[in-house]
Amino acid sequence: MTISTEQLLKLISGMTDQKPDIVLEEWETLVDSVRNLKPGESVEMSQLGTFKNVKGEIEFNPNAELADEINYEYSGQEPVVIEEGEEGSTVPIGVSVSGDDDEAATAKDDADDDDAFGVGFADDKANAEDSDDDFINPFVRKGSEPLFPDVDEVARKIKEDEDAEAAAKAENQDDIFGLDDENDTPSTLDKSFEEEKTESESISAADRDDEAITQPKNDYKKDDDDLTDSDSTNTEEKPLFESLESPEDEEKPAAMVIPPVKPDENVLKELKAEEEAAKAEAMARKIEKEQGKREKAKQVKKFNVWVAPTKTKSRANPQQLAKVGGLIFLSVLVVGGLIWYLLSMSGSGDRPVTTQQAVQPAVTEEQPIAEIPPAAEEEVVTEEVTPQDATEPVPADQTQEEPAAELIPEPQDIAPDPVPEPEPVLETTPEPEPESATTPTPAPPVTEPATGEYGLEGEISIVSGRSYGIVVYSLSNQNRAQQEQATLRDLGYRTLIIPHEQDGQTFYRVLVGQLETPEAAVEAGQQLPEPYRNSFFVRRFFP
Amino acid sequence: MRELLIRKLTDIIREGLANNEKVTVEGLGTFSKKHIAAEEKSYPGGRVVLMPPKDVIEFKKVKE
Repeated sequence: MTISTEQLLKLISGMTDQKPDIVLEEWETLVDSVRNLKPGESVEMSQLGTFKNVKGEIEFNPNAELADEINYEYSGQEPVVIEEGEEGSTVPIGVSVSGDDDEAATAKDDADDDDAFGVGFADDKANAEDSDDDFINPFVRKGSEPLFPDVDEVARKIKEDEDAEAAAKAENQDDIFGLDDENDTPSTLDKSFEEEKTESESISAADRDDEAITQPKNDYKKDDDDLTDSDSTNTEEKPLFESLESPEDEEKPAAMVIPPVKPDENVLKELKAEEEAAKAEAMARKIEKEQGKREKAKQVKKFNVWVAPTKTKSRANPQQLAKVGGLIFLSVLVVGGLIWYLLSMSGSGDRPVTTQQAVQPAVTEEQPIAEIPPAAEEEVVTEEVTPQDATEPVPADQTQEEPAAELIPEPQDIAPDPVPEPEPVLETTPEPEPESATTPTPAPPVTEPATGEYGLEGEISIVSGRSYGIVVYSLSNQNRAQQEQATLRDLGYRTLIIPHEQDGQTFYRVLVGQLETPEAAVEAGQQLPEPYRNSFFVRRFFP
Repeated sequence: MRELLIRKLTDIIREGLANNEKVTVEGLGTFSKKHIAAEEKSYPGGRVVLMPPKDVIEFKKVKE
């Protein structure tokens, strides 16, 4: 169809009072604005589109409304994911939504994971440090000045005490019957007991920091009342060592308790308890050191190390438990997430489309196919009625008229002009149908057994899950769609009509075949006879 | 006036293309409808998407 300037002017002049000269002048200006475009320049015509000079070539981009009208047959059709890519690669090029989110999410998850662990670890660590601090602080002034500058002295004293104790023990064992001590005077005994007392005090001070704080170093007692307070409880309790090594304490002191000298019973009785305790502790300590803990004694310099073993033992367990619990919880989360993901992927068929829609919003305007099922079911019902409709006297006017008017959105603002009635756009696409009706097209290639659940031929079968069909018609006239369906059915295809709402208008899409996967549908579509081969499209349905 | 011209031109082009005709506007160029069949597009990562078919308008500037 060629529109000459004269024809155009004639049309225009009938609509306006302007003189033909002015109209012509305006028209030439318009045409020149397009023809004389320089590279990179463009002219926009509001209702028509934009002309742009791209490297010397004039390109035309129709405006959205015009583009939709021309593409109405395929409007609303969505891209179909045939094959899912690797994770994180689900986003097509040019689409802004990207897998970065996934990565970010992954990173976040990782971070979370790290956190999940780290919280445990970090917290544990922090806790450990805190707890260490808790342990250490009692021995450190707030200004981090150690309470015991003479650590070495304490250690040395402990050693001396131990030696003295050993010697005393040997003596006592020798004098177990007091034979050698008959000549001993009470004063010497007192002295010896006093020495023992100081020994025991110093030993206990060395063994237990608290006593070391409170007794041998009275100078510091004043400085740290809180320390002495907390420690005083310990001193009274005679804590850890007793409880740990009480069995030996009970045995060995028994041998030691035998008083070597009887004349000093008064003193003995007064100091007996303390002596026993001191000796028990001394023995306990000795045994402990015999068991290989001397090394720790050498580290007396570091009070935190000195004390930590017993206290951290009691705190380490909850931390480990927390770690283990965190690990178990995390693994449960991961496994649960994995299962959920797998279930959601293999469960409903909506997912690919949903992601598709999310990924390519610009391309797809169609309602989610997931909404189709009820409609599809209805169509299955109507489909069974269809044969009657098809055999029924199909309105002759429909077959002759070609229901183009219904198929093409009527241009409302078209001026009454001789332009032929909106001929059916369908006429071109469906042209083959009359041919196929009259001259049977070559036997449709059957890609799958017709009797099976899936295939091109036969009847739509009820299968669990989704099926894919090949859309060969998209018609606004239901009767026409049913005609086409009947024609296709006569050719042996299994067919289905699925209505689709688009901009308030219902289109009836005629599907051919029922295939299990999009790939199979595409393959089958490519084997369809020529009229359909070029313009088919695959969509999913739920029979 | 220009708007009216453009509107009329648009109507003519639309009708012609809807009838699968080429529309040649004297002095301007030829508008035609081009069908693009469904095609598979592959994206990095292995994702394959079947793009729906579509009809687009092609324009060829008139030869001077």
